[in-house]
Amino acid sequence: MIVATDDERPLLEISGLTVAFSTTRGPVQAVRGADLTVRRGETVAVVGESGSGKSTLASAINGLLAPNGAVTAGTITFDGTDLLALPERRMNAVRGRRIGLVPQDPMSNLNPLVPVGRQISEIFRIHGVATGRAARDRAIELLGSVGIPDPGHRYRQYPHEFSGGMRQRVLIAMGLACRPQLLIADEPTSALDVTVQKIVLDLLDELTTSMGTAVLLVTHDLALAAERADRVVVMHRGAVVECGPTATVLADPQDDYTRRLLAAAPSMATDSLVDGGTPTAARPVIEVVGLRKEYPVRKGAFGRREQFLAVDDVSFSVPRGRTVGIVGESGSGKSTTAKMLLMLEPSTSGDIVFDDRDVTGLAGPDLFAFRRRVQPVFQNPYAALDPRYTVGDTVREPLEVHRIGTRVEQDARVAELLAQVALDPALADRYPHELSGGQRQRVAIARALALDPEVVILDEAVSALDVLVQAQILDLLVELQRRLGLSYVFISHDLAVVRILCHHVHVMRDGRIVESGSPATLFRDPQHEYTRELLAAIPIGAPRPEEVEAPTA
Amino acid sequence: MIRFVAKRLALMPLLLWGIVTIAFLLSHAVADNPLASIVGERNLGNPDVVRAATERWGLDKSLPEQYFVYIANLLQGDMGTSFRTKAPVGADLAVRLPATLELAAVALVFAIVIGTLLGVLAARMRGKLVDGVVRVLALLGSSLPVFWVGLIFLFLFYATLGVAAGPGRLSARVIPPPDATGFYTVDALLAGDWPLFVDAFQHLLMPALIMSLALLGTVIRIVRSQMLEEQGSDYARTARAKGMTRGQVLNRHVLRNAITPVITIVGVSVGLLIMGAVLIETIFSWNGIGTYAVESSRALDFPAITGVCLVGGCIFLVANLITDIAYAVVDPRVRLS
Repeated sequence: MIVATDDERPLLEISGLTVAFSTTRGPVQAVRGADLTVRRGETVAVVGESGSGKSTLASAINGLLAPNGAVTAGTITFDGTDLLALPERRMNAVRGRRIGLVPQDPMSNLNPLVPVGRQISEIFRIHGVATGRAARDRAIELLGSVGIPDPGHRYRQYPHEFSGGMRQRVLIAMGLACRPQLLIADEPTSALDVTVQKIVLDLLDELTTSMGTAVLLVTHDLALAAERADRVVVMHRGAVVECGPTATVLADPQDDYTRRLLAAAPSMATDSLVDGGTPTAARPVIEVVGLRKEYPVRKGAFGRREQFLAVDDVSFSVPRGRTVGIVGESGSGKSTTAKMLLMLEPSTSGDIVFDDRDVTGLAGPDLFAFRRRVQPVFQNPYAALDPRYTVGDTVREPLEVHRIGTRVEQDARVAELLAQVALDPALADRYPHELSGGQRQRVAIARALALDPEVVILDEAVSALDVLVQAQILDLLVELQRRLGLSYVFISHDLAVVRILCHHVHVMRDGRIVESGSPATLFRDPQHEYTRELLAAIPIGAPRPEEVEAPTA
Repeated sequence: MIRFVAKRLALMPLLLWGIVTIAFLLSHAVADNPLASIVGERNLGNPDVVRAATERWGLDKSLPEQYFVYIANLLQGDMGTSFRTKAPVGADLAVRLPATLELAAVALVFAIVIGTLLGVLAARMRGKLVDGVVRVLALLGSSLPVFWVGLIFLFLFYATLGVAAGPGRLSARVIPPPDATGFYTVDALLAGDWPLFVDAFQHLLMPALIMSLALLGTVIRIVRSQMLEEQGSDYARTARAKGMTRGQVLNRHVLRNAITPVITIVGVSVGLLIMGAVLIETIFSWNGIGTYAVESSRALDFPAITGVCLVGGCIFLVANLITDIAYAVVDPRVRLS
């Protein structure tokens, strides 16, 4: 993939770059003295956790820092030009034409009120590459080349008429419209399902290789970086802590942080956190039989009513003290299943037998009592906590709702719960915004445990967390299970995490369970085609064989 | 879309029936007797006159009877006869409604056009002097009482400076155009009378501006804050990464997104605007539906009051329908159903 000859000067050279944001609490340095080089045609990955400064670094290159941010030191040289000294007008000619951008979130990065095609063709108009019909034809051609079927028709459609993966293709088309020398891809696939991610990244590889475009791939996913990049740059707290050829960095990391990051990232080779053990002889705590959920939807111009089958004949059981994983991509029905288990959403038909009793029809005091025994932890620790409640209020609330104990007893229980999730009980007076993401998720877990539940439904509970924090939370969950005998239903899109945490796994697709088994057998010898597809799509943390052999342009 | 409009239109008679019923019952719930306004204060002592009037106006009948007679007449297009003017309510409204609608229409245009322009200007000049001035104006517009502003403006621009037209729809001794639509500006143009159009239009400007002030202030603030919010959105940043200038991004991408909420606000505000007509019309001697409503309620003129409610309800329902349609036109994600 490397096409540059060694004596050529690099395409992009960043040295000693420092970016500071002015905040109410004074200046904050997001990037500190970062050095980075991208040669022509190569792919360089910038890897780091949230807050590491990797996205800020990327924004500094095309001069699109937030208004309160500024480069305070260092240089950015692009193809011999000092970008920081370039006047705004000439910088506009660089952006989009010579440096493309593929942003992160396909849902928010397209203007919802402008047809997709126009958002592409306007790039040609701005840069004077083509106008009128010619611009339109080029945009249609581009849509076709990023694999959008019937591009002539799709050109006129609006973003909401595209799926997430299709929108990401549109964003790639926009980034590559003018065949730029450099493409900044800022977490280009982190909002996508794993199978879609693979397709989109393959497409990106193919196009940039054929155009000879260099790629700066910003990602939190080490395995993905390893698979796609020629060289890796690891960032931590604004500084570059390690850089080098991908294989070298992965095989022999020099920096302590890189080592920790590598150790924490679960892969398909990581040892399981739980012992397989023999299934408990006792009756399962939850038994789901033939669960179905239909939603009425309107289709077509005349609004015909139709039933959309979100969950179709799902059956599984949760043994006491065990973790049952449900894996699937978006739209598979896994979260709907979670909501029905929590009795937050009524099922259309089927039984949920909890402790030998069908709970699907529960109402009033029975339902209230049921809630004490099954508790949720949701994905987004930022949205799942009331910002106006202190940590103590949040954890105490279930006790108040269920009228358990006096105020003094509740306080003692709150302190106990916080200690249980390894939080300092002194944090009880803090508000969520004063906590880190990992701390918040611990608070959410403490709240779920307040009522001594038997079952905890974890709906993507670690998916929003950075890899080091994720590892800590997973350890905590395993420890709590061992200590309190909890049963978990662990819902996730991340097969690697499911593999190390669960005793039993069900793979869902289009509302149905397509395959079930223990993680060991399921992942070693997948029977269903979809499971194989899922497994094949996971970044393996090393260049894929076929890509090493791929001919260079 | 057609299905949606048809459904909403089909529902309108039902809603109007509800409005009429409530208005009818409310105006009859007033304990006072409307006879005074029918026969005059002085004749109230005369039993013969009172008995004759009671019979003539159907006031001797029970309330349900009166209600059914009213509804039956209404179905035939007869809104009853005003106690006060002794003219058919329908005819009274036909004269006065266009005057109010003309005023409200110009006020709406002011609020939308000036409000959007100033809102965009303030957002683009954020933190600068212009922004500050616009924001203060928006605040004043929303918070100053209409009758006070009306009097001050009349005093300042008409009486003192003489740069604005005075009260009324036309200057003194100017003959109204031949009645075609009831809108003086439109009728003047239809008659090909340019000076008359100018006169009518000048008389519209000040009351319409004052009528629009509250809505204008709201529109400015919404457009400004929406512009600022949308400017910081991902798609705006992506547009910048395409090589567009800040101005191009604002005009081609941000503005459209910032304006959609204005549609909702304007839609629900039409009702408030019509309500505000009461004050404006009184101050500017505007012979519209607002003054008619005030005078009718003073005289406990049941048929006239119910008629005004009916017309007001119609305006409100139509405005809401237009709002929904406009929203669907601007935002492709909105499906009407």
